[in-house]
Amino acid sequence: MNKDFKQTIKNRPGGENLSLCYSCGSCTATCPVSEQVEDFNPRLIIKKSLLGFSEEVLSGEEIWQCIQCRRCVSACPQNVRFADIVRVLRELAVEEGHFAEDLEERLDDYDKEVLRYRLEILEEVLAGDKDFEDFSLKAGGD
Amino acid sequence: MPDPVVVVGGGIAGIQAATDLAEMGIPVYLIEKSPSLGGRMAQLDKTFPTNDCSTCILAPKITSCYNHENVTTYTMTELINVEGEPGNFRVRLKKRPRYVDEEKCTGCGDCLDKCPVSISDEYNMGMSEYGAIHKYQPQAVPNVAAIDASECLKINEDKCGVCEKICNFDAIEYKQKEKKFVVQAASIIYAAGYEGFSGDLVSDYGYKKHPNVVTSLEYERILNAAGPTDGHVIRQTDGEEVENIAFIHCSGSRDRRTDKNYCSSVCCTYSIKHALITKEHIKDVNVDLYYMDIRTFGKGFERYYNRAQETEGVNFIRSRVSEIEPGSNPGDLKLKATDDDNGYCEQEYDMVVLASGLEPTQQVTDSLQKLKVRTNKYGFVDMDEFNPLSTSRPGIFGCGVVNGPRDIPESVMDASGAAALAGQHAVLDVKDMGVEAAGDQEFRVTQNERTRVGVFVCHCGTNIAGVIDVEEVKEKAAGIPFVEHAEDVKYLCSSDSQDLIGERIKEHNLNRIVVASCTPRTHEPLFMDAIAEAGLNPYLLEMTNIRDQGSWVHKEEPEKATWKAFELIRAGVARVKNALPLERGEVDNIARALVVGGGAAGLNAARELANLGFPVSLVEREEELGGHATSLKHSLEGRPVKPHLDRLIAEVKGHELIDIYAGHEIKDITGFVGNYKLELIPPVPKEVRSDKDLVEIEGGVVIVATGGQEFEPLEYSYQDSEQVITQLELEEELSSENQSLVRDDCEEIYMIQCVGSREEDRPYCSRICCSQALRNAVHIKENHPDKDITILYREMRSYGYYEDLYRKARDLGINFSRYEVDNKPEVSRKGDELTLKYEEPLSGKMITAKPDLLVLAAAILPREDNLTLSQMLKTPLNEDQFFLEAHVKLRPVDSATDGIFLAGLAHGPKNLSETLAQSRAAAGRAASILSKEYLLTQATVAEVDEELCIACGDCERVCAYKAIEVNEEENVAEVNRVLCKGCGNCTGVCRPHAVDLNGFLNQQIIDEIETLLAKDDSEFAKTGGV
Amino acid sequence: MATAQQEAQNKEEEFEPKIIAFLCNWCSYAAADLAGSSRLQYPSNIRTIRIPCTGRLNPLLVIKALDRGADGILVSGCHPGDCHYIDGNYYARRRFTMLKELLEFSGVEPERLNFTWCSAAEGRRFAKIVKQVVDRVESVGPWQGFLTEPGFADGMEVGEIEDGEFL
Repeated sequence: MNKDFKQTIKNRPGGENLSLCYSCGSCTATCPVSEQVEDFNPRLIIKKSLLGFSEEVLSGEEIWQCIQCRRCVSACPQNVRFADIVRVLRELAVEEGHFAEDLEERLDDYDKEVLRYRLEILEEVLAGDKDFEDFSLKAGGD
Repeated sequence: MPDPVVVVGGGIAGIQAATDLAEMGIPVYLIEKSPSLGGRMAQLDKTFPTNDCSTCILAPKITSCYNHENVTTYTMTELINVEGEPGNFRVRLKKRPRYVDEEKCTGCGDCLDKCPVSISDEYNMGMSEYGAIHKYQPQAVPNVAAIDASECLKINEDKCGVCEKICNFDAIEYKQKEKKFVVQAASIIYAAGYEGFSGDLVSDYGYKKHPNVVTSLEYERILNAAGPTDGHVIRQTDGEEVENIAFIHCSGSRDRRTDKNYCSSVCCTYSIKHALITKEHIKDVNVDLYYMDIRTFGKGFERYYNRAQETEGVNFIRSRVSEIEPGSNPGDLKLKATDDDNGYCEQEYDMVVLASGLEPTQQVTDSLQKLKVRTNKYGFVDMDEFNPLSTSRPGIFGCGVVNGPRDIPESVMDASGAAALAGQHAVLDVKDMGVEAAGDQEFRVTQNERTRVGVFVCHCGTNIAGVIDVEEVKEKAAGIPFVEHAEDVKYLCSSDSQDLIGERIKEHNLNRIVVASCTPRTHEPLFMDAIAEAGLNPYLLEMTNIRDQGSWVHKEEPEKATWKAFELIRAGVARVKNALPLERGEVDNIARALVVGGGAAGLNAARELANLGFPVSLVEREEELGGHATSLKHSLEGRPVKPHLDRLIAEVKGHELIDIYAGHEIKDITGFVGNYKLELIPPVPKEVRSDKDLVEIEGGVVIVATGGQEFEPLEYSYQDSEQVITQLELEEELSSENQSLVRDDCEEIYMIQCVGSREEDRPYCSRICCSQALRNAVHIKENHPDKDITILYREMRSYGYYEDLYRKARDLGINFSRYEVDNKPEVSRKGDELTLKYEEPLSGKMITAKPDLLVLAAAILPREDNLTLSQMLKTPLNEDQFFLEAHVKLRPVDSATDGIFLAGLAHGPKNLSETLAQSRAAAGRAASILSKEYLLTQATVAEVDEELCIACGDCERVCAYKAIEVNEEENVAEVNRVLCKGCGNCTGVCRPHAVDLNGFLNQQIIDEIETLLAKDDSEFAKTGGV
Repeated sequence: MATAQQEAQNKEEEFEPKIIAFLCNWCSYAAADLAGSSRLQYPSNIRTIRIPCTGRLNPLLVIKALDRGADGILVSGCHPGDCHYIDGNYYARRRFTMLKELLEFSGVEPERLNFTWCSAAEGRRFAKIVKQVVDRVESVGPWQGFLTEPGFADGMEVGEIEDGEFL
């Protein structure tokens, strides 16, 4: 356990509000990635970071799965800003050499998957099959 | 006559404050902005944690407040401004036009159905409609209609006018104008209540967009049998009964985006209530509660939560819901949440209820500005925690939700406390006030007269006469035995009809009256007054209810209804002929309060009573005053306690009206309200002590403020390590100079919550530990930022504004981790080294730590001697051995025994500020008794026939008020008329029929039964008539 | 026996049961009032006696009513826990249970003896209760008075109505 991990994140731009989290789970509940990817759980990433499991968090794939849509930022009742925290975690992962060699490739595939999914939705909306309101991505932050 | 007090707000808080002041003999102007008293509580279906019917418990309180001779109620009235200073305020008010004359309108309701306009029914949260002329609620007080000017055709377009045509009392006044006026007041109590958060506060929940998403207040009306759906839980979209329902806690509360970071304190428990009642309404319904922390911190709430969870099958899901989307079927709703184990989850429901929090109404915010009262950042009254209920402006006091989120009992406590403070400005002249007029009036002696009954039958316009043939009933009534005079009257409740009854009594020398009209529940006092006015004892009246339980419910069967009315009148005559003239007795009342306990609660109660002008005897077992509070370093807001406590002690010691018996123990307590005796053992060494040393003190009331004690943990190595201490010990440590435990090499501090609380054998929440731990942790962290502090908790119960403290603690970097009750942290010790292991439930990780200091949030326990004290006081304890209040909702500081009041930890866990508020409430409640020279007993009390009594003691066993006891020497049961409430339980149980209940005598009821079943007048029960 | 049955049947057509209702002042009587102000209709067979609390109800009064020819009895108080006088309704429930057993033993059909609760907000429930009680009493026909010799009354079966709201 790395007790300073929390403070390291808080010291970087975007990570300041990490410890404000009270684990309500709004971030996970609103996350389009979580909806698709079972293991992607922002609430858990924050909790593990707070507890100091730096190795596990930084070496894991999850922090790279975030698509930075910032829904979590607008859904969070405590302004924790998970999307920004993820960016800090990515920085730290790169700095500390947790970026595996094949990761870039896998992430590329992953991005393409996500893009395809977004196009599908867009097509449905344009075809009038779905109400656009249901997909309105709120601009994040305050 | 003391100067009047203005009470703004006619909800439960305002009603309680007004009633307490009025009982102290202080005139009150009660100001209510809506057309009826009752406030939010009148909209509630049931109340937690007993699921009591809200209307049932509230209605009698409203009526007695409204009818109180010292209370003047102004409905539809608002505050303009306030000038002057305490003792001499000039309060400017404006009364909106009601367009109905309050004096003339009898509430008959003739006009209500005829109005051609339909408007949204505010009382039902807009879920149903009523006319432009309407009663604000079915049980409106005053029971008077009101016209909504913005919708009325006559007022706006000079059309219609049908209500004026229909009204038989000439009560409609379309030309009424707004009225401005000024009243003088010594002080002001502000109790204007709250608004539920708007449903669209959290836009992600799609309130209004999805019709089956409702707010909690709307849901109260849906559940209510008299609500828009007649109590059926059905969906607005398709009228289908709900099978699957979700409740979302914190809908807007604890949310920085809504600028409401505070916890609304009541939503957790009321949502549990909603869940339980929903389960009662619909068999097999699935009920899911989405929550972040369950905050059932109030008295008895934890048991309520356990019940919901363990025996009622309510599902609790620890997650905030991020948004609500349309479900797969029309009207259904899809909730997105986070599962503890699996992350993202979604679930569909038929209906979703948003547990909306409490916030001050815009009107409250505006009014507080007009009053020049400082508010906090959330718009509630800014209150000094050492001086609760006082506002920033001297002479103005707040009570109820204007002071911050709180539940009904806390609002009621606030109210009585505010009354104690407001009363101090009204310059009470003790012994010259509040003396009820008993026996002032001499009534005609009727005992030796021939029985002459007068029967008055009311038409109530067409309400009765439209169905029942009133003329025929009257004709027939004239032929009933003992009836001297029968008459039918258009409206018996009008004031000229009251005079008419008086005239007839004199004219025919009537000595018994039967009034056949509406319900005695609302109108009996009126007719009692009318006949008392005519010199007849008011208990020689019988009312028969031929409207509410006659014409209104048998509209389709006019003949049967007519016959029933006649039968009821005949039985009424049979009953009233046995009626005895009753009188309320007078009992001497000692104008002195006996306060037991010299801690913060006792001291504060004593001070407020003395400031009101009442002598006080304060008993404390220790030589030093101050109790528990002496070991507190800082208040929950972080301010030092000692200066305030020292000032309080000095004030009490220096007060000429307060006698202090420090070092005295209580040997015995005897007596009853108005006349209690305490026998005290003085601090004389046992060896040299004799009975002569015993001290006896007397008073009219007793305030129990004996405090509580801290649990001494057996777990977590507390017993064998000096590094393991309790939160209270930590406070003492922080107050001391050297602070040896929080020294530099103490790097890692752990705190464990719920030690001894919320356990199987102690299933209550100790309420203050979460905020206390937060305060101590924040204090340490602020002074020593390098220390690593972790709080292990089960639910973080930082209710109200303490949520801000919780946020601050997180912001400072204090760690928080949850643990499960069935998987508690493990602590072991090796020499000076502590090892703590626990499983973090979200990540499932086992975490091991080496804390240098471990602080336990030990439970607050009832004092061990509570049982002895309760037996001496003859007042019960609750299951957890704290003193039991007379009613959990509406009498939170009264004990079940008259004249005994509760304050502080003796009543249950609470923090210092809450203790101070409650002790003020105890003072207020006590003052409402102490201010009376005599106490009046009820007239309809039990009476024992000594000849028949066999002294079996059954009556004594069933009496909840200890009002009847067997006198062992005389071998006969005796009734204490002061304590008897007239329920008749003793009469119900008495085998030899030796105990009877005045006003409801066995013979009266038997004659009533026999006559009801009589085929004709020849079978009329004639017992007792002459 | 056959003629008695026929007689009862003939009577049933015009049978207007008389039901004595003991209602507590604080909840059930208030519910009856609310039924009125909500204009809910129910049969006029009921004759209400207002008592402060169902705890006041001495068993003697019920027996008296039956003795004088009441076809049915309704006792209604506050819901458990709601008693205005703390616990009077609990005592009433116990007393009534015992009394009912005794009366059933003496040949009174259980349908004649009804105990329930009703809060001040439950006007609709009150109206429903009255209808149910009238139906129950009608189902056993006119009350013939207490038996003077050993035997069983006709139709003496222990039965509960609908949702078991009555004791």
